[in-house]
Amino acid sequence: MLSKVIAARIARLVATLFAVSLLTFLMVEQLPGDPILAILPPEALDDLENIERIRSELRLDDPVLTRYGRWVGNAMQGDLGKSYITDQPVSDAIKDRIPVTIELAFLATLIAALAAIPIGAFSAYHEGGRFDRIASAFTTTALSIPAFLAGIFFIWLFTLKFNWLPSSGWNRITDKGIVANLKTAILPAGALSLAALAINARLIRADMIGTLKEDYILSARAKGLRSRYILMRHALRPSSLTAITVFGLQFGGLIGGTVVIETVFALPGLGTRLISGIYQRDVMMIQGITLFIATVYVVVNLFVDLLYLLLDPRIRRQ
Amino acid sequence: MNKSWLKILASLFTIALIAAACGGSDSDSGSSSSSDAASSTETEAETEEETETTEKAEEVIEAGTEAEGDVDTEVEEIVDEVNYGGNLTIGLEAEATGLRPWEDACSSPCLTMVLAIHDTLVVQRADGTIGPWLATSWEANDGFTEWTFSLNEGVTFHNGYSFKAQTLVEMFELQKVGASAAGIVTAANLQEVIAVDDYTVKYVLGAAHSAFPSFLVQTPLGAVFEPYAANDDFDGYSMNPIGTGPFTMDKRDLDNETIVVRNPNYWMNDRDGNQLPYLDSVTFRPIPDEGTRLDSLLSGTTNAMQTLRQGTIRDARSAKEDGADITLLEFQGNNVGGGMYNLNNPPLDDVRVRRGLTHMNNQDAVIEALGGTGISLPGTQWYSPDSPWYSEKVAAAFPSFDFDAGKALIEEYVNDPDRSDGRAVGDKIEVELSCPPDPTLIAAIQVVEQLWSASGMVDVNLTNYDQQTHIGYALGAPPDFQGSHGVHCWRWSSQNDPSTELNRQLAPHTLGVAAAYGLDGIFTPTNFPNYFDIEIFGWLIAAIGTDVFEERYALYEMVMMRLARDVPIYFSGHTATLLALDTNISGINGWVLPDGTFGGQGWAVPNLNQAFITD
Repeated sequence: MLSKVIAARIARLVATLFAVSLLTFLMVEQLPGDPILAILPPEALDDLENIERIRSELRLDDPVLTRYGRWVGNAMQGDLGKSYITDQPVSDAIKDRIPVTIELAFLATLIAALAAIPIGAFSAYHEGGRFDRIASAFTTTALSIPAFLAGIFFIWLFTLKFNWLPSSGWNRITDKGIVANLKTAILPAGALSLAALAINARLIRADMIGTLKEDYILSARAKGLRSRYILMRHALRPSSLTAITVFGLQFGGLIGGTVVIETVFALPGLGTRLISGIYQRDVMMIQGITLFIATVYVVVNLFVDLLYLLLDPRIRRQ
Repeated sequence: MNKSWLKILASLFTIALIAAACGGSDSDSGSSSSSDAASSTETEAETEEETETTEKAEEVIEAGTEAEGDVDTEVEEIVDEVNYGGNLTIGLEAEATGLRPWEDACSSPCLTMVLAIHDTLVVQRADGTIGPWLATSWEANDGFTEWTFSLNEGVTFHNGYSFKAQTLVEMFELQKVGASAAGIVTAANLQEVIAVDDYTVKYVLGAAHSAFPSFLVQTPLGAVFEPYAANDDFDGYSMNPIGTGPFTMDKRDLDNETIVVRNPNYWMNDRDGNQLPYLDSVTFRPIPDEGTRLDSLLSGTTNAMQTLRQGTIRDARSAKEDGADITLLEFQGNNVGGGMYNLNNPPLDDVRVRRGLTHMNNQDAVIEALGGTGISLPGTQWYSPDSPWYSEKVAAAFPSFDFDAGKALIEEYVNDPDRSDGRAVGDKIEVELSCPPDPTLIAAIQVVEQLWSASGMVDVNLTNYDQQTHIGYALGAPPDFQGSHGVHCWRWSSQNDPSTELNRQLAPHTLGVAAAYGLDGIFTPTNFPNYFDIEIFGWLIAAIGTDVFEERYALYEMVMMRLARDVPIYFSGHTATLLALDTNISGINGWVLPDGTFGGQGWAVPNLNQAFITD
């Protein structure tokens, strides 16, 4: 039974990826302008033979469906093609950049989780109290601030005013160690985490308010158990299902969300490469990275679904 | 109590946000081909209609001197005592597309890296003339079809190979088919490169070109790379480029940092005989966001930065006024923002419409919208007032802001029964005005839209497309390359010899046009306004058949006068650029050529081979 469910989910995943690949390809194809003209500088356009030679080399003179078929066929074997602009294999570009993007998304999720759980739990426990009102104001503010604006604010505060952290660049763990890495990661991850933090804190709060009114919580209180124990042991677990779902979805979303924040902080992640690809009309790079991000998103969703099955016996029984 | 606390917290946060937003990014155009600043012309009209060529030449502002109102940083001799060692970290506008000079399209950030690793045969001096670098001297035959260069001896590539004339022959095999260099090879009509002996090379052209060395200033043709390394690993060369330049590649982490280190075998010494370069290493950091790049400099994350955006120049000036410890090297050359009218697209085929619209373009208001007041000089022609090619006569002839005169011209067209757009007499004309979707550019074209609309005779359709689409829209598609644009933001000109761009951009725009004038096969897709004038074409050809400056000046002045009359293109303001440095960085302004003359700055591309840290 369970295997049937998993198989159905995987089939849905494949169908989604096929649709994403086709849409991405067709949308990029529909962009006005000739991709060859984006490859060449203006001074090179006088040479028509050169233009046609490059077009032929890149097999851009093939029909659209032929090119799509070739691209998808190669992508299924892990070959996303070569950048028209830089000649770099797209899979290499992704491989070089994905650690940065994944780390950012992971750190942002971690920050959001670490902050949201206590904020949500204590807000629920002290519903209507001072802490709850402050937390509510904070989450409202955090939700209303776009990540890029938060990033600019963080640069102003932590770099220009206090000079604690660098404003741009990325120290790779492999080159400079974890501490140097975190120095460059913490501001962008913090900026990226704000909205997720706010949403999760509110979700946990709302969920826990309901949970805290359950009979078994009242029973635990009546037994004289400590508040922290009740909150973390008895209330948080049932309330965490929604949060886990949202964390999972957010992780996938944050991969996409890094596009802007990486540009603000000049980080060598997928987002920066995607933006450069769009500016340069680097067709293969745009298609490859978009497909990759979509794949990560749907795979993470699949895992969340499976985790749900694991955590909630009721769903398993259904 | 609780409410008060919340209010204070919210207020503090709001103030902080506003402060951050105000002091942060002011992203100007992301476009390299889009319009930049504009300003009103203040040139004084020449009253004399006829002026002798020689007299005109005397009126030319001496190259390297400052025009009135110019904000360029003057080139000054380096007075600081030089130091060896240290690292310079430069914030660049973007990552380099690639470091293959013959293959990759290269703008300012990329050039900064390419020129740290590669030398060119010749370089441009601060006064605009061409000076020696890897080539020590050169001469042309009488017909300017053969150019012979003597090369520096004892120069080696980073991999130990010797630089000889044969290197240039081997390079040419790649350049002929290089995505970037092939067009320049065609434009220069370069047929063959011959090694006369180990240190003498001959460039053979298919037709006379008196300014051929100007093509060798450009990296696609002039940057010297190790051809065997390039052939061995064509795609990988970008990650491990091999030149003769002052720095060698140490680490290339794309989109993050590229580190180059001192070339211990560099061929060049300073005037005191000290071996160059002085710096141990240079780190290039691509920081696309303008605000972050400036903040990185101000906070010490980097110690130098480049920008081509007026808003950032304005912010850097403010920071300096507020006490930031930085040096600003401002430069604006011939590159000039403005736009074009597509003559294939009625009513823009009618000169009354083009002149009328140009007259109704208030450059003062446009420059204010762009945030360039006090930064950019007004543009009236291909050259800035500092350029030896600048002409007061052309400046006076350019249709400057005169709303009533413009309205009268449009009115004349609108009431013409034979108007070219096929509309009824009295109907408004309709034009598309397009710029890349940058906030400041949008503000600028909204100013223009309001002015044109205020005439009551122009319907303006504003459009914005991303950079590549914007270019592609003007370019059209092969093989005809007839763009369907209307009024289109664009940038014109460069520091290079006028021939390198004008001869190409004003050539016949279709094969049919070429055939009609007996110029079979001469055709360019880069004649974006689709404007051709056989007399202009003749003057341009004549200008590369002589190396007498006065003769060439007169010919280019005639070209510009014709453009000012027919207005296929219009100008707003010259493009301001900036290199901002920590004050302890020296040697970037005032670098010298091997012959002791000063080199130019140009387009925010620092020459790093004489840079040093003073303490």
